[in-house]
Amino acid sequence: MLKVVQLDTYHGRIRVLKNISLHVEKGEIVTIVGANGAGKSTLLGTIAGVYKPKSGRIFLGTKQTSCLPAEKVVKDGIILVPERREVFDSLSVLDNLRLGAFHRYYTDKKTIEGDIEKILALFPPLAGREKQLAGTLSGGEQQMLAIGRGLMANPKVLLLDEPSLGLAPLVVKEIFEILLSLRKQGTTILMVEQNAKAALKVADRAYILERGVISHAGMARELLQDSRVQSAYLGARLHA
Amino acid sequence: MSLASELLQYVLSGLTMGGIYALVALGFVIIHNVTGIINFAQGEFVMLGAMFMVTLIGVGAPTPLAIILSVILVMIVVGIIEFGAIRSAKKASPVTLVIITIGLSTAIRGIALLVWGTNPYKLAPFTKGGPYHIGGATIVPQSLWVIGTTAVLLALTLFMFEYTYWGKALRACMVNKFAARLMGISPSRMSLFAFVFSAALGALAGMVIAPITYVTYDMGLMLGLKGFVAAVLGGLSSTPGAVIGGLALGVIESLGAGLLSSGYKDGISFIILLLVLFLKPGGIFGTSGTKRV
Repeated sequence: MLKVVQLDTYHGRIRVLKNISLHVEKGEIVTIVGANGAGKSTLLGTIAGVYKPKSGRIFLGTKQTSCLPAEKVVKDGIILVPERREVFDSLSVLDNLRLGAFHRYYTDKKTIEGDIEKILALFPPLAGREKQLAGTLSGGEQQMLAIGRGLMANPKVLLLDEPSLGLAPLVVKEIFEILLSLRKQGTTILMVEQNAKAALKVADRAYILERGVISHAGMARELLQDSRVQSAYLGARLHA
Repeated sequence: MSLASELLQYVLSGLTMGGIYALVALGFVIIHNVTGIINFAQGEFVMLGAMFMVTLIGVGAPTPLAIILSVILVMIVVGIIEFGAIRSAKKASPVTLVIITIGLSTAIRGIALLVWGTNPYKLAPFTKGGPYHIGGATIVPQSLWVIGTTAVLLALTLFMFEYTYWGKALRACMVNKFAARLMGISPSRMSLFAFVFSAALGALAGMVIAPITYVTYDMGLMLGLKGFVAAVLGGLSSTPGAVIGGLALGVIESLGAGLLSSGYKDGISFIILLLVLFLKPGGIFGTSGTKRV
């Protein structure tokens, strides 16, 4: 579905991503875990067209994506749900969802209201609060709104940047359960997480990013058991 | 004339000018919110609207046609300016862009001077009749045109922002440009839209005020600055703030000019600007949005 081939991205003169290749199959949840500053957000941002890669290619299906700018990549079928949610806080929940469908609003007008109903059914805390301003929602609800807004774009691949950031463990659990039900419906998800344990539990496969390089790749379940991964990212002590 | 009717007179003429300031301020706020630029050429849009109208009336066009054509002409001119001068410098910092708009303002004024000369033009009021007397104060019909036009344009602007999809997309771009881009909303297209829309507001303001103030090549300078003061008064990012700021500035100015001396009229505006910037830089009517992180 999504294929990234030998991607290099620079921030100024600093090489943040070094020769990254990865792939995500249809209906999979794939997670990229790694420490702060490993380049996780840059990787998602490059796929979404926020940053321009120096070299490398990104394919969606067999088609190469536009790469730049972000507002065109949406049309290719890639949507990024950004870190810190970035909802339109002075607009209502309903408007946020409608604007998620911006790129198809005029071509697809009839289906949009129905899609909003589906999103609200998927995120029960949002239902009945369509008129409320997004800025007054709790952190977890804002995250749900941000994911819902992303889904409104009808993406082929959903990119999630730190969906658990700043949320209580119970809320994180709720959101990750929704991700699992999204996968059942056939949504393809590429997710970046610092909360490696939670991410590896829901994901099918995982990549570990260390200072811009993919150091491990494999089935999420296996990485969860891997002692090196445990010591580095899951807080387990080898000699405890 | 009794003091009460005198005060009423000042308030009425203040509201007339205030309506114009509000329209100019609205242009500042819309462009600032969408692009981060303070567009000091906003006053020139007002002048261009009035000048085009004077010219079209001069060649015999009927008033309604002249109004429509002038608005369209100003929108085209500003569209070209946005495309040529603002977009090509997109990567520059907002301060650089602000300086570009100051340059644009000077350039437009210079061209206007070459085309239309230094003589003031007079434009006939839209409708004959009047003046009307209300409680000891008098008001000319053109003032009613100004107040009416302002009200209609403000209502249209608010309607656009509250109820249309494009308006919502524009607001999304104001609230969070990054997220708006991710949704496929193109900031450069929104910037063009903001400039052209503000141009139309400014041009209409120029046309309705023209029969009251005369039309000169440099009328945009003072109107632009006053509109800026009104926008700052309203907090620079709030549309209702700009409207209230404009009306308030018009009334304060008119009261000051009437009760103190008309020589202080412009001084009062700029003293207000300085006071606001020193004491309450967020604007008197500035509202802080709710944001939870």
